[in-house]
Amino acid sequence: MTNVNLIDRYRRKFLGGIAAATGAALAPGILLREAGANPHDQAVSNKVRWGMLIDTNKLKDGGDAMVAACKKEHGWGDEPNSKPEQQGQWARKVTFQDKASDHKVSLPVMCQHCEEPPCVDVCPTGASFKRDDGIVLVDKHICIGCRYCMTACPYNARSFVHENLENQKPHSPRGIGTVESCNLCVHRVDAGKQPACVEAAADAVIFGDLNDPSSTISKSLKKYEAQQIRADLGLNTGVRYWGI
Amino acid sequence: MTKWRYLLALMLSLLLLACSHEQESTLTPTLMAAQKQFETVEQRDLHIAEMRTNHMNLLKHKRDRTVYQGIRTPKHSLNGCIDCHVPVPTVNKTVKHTDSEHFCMTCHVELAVKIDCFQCHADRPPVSEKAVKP
Amino acid sequence: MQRTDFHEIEISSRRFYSILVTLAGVLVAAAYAFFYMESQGHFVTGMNNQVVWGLPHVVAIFLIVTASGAANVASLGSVFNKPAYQPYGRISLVLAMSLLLGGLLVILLDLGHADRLIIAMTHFNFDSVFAWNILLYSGFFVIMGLYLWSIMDRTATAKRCYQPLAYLGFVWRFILTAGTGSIFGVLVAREYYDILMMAPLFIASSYLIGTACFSLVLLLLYKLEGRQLSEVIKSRLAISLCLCIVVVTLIELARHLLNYFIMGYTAVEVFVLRDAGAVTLMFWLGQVVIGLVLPIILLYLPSVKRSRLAIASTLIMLGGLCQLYVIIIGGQLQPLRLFPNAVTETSGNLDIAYSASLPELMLSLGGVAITLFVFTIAVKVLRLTPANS
Repeated sequence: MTNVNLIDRYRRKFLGGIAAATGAALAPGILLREAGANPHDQAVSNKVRWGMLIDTNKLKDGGDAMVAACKKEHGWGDEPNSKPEQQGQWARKVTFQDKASDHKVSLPVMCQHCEEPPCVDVCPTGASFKRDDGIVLVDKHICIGCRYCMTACPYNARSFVHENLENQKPHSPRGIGTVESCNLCVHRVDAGKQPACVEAAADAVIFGDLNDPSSTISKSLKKYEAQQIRADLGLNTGVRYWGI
Repeated sequence: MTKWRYLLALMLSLLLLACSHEQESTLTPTLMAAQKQFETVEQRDLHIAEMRTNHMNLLKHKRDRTVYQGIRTPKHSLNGCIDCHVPVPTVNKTVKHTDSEHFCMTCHVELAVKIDCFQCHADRPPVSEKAVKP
Repeated sequence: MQRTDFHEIEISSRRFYSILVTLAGVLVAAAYAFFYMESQGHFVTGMNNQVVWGLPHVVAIFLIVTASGAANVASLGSVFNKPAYQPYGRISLVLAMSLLLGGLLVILLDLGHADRLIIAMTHFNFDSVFAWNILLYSGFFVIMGLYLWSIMDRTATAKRCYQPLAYLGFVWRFILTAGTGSIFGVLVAREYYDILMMAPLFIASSYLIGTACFSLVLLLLYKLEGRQLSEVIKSRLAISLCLCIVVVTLIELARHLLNYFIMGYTAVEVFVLRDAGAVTLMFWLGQVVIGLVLPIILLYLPSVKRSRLAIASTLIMLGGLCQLYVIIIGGQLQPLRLFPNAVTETSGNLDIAYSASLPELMLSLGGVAITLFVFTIAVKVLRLTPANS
């Protein structure tokens, strides 16, 4: 086991070197994994923590395009039998108006991929979990549908599938009796691509590795301080905002 | 798991007893032909033998590696199975997991083993967007 | 000390079976409701993505909390060494186990994947209060079962185990109720549930509702047999009920004052106590007036002696149900505030409302019915009822 790990580490380092060399030539943000060659067969590592920085000032539509892209990618929100408040909802647009300044800001709100996710703490079976690379998701194979995580989430980011579904997307399994939420397009990230919503608002959103000090997102976060929603809860979210 | 395997073996042997006077074909229901075929008969038989006894373990192992470690190689991926064993939906015909002719269901109905894979997973290959539009 | 004899309740077979058939009718309806919800999905219920726990959870937690309290009479007899309660220990334990069974079944059958019970038993996340509660509930059956055995068996081994099991049972009940309260207490996002007060509140409420439920069931049993319950035990039960009412009132008062003035959860307090419509009504009328004020008046007034314990107990249980409804549903109805000091609107589907649907109601009643079903059979086939007290 340790041997394998050593080899793995060596291989990663080697590939990482190549990647860094090639990465310099590429535009920032395109190269996402250190081993860009064949990312499919490598286990995710806790050296990486994926995050997202959303600049609400640059979002012309307040995030509508991002929400729409998510819907299209994962196919949620058009459940025929469910009432509106029972529909799948992985992301939504929230508008808030400051009482003092009357300043109105719109932003997309989805799973914030907390470092200390309350949903993971409360899940009785461990179905709600945080992957090594910081993505919070539900293992629907062992989700019993108790919805405890939904009450625990401070962001209302999760929804419950209230009916039998048909014709799901092959890359995004979702089904009756389980809880679901934004998974940061884990299937795309694993393939070295960006989440669907990031692609839909490329000017306003930066996606990248929060642990890598030289990544665009880390540099941007350092330049101007970005806010977390409900920072008072101390959850250290992976999704950050400018302009809220 | 082993308990279930014994149970399966028991059920199979009971079935064998019950059908011993009939033709052999009643033992293995006719399955839908796969989209891709192996080059040699040996390869095919090996695949059949392995999958018949072990597909649930392989799928479960792969599922945990995919969900927790993000390993999405084509080998033993459920989507890979579906893409090859279930026909791509056409305007006239869509094979769903509720139909007994669906590759997985033919056996599972025969053996009365309920699976909940397709509550969440796609039970048919994706339709490429070009193909839909006439 | 006078020896107590125990017998199976003496009611006619016709009466016994008619009770069972009536309950079985409710159970069939509940089973139908369960399969309907299971096959269709939860869209047939009033629950949604905001109010994720509905009437079944209110009733289930009510039954669980009552279960823990119903075993109190047994603890009073053994741990606190009150001989007057000892003859009723058996009934108290069997009632407790039946109630817990009913409550757990409702919670289980409302799961999105009730078929995955085995996963809940094999995959444990020990950070989760819920997972701990699964262990606490399973342990409750084992401990109460052993405790009952140590009371009923006449061997020396059983006699030796009696005291330790009584203490274990007492402590276990304490932890179980605190654990049930903590299910809500640990939710940082929901201001209405604060860990500090939820555990003690649940413990106090469980004593109150549990004792009320026990009193009512005992009175019913004696009525079925055509006997009179002794005035001694009646007045003792009445006194414990009064005490519990005072304690629950104080804790509730402290909780709301603390939330409002010290913790700064003013918005949610104003919401639940003033603006939440039916939930607000349920708090003031249901929990406060029916559940606390009326019973204590009834229990203290000397003029209304006859059947006042039965009426007071019924009111207390109704109040307890309202209390849990206010806590569980009310706490979820309050919208989460992402941005304090700002007016927020959402494009998505976030209307927050809840009203129970028929299948949920049937499932909930099924939990009560299974409790009574199991309890009725138990008192008919086991020697639980004291013959001469």
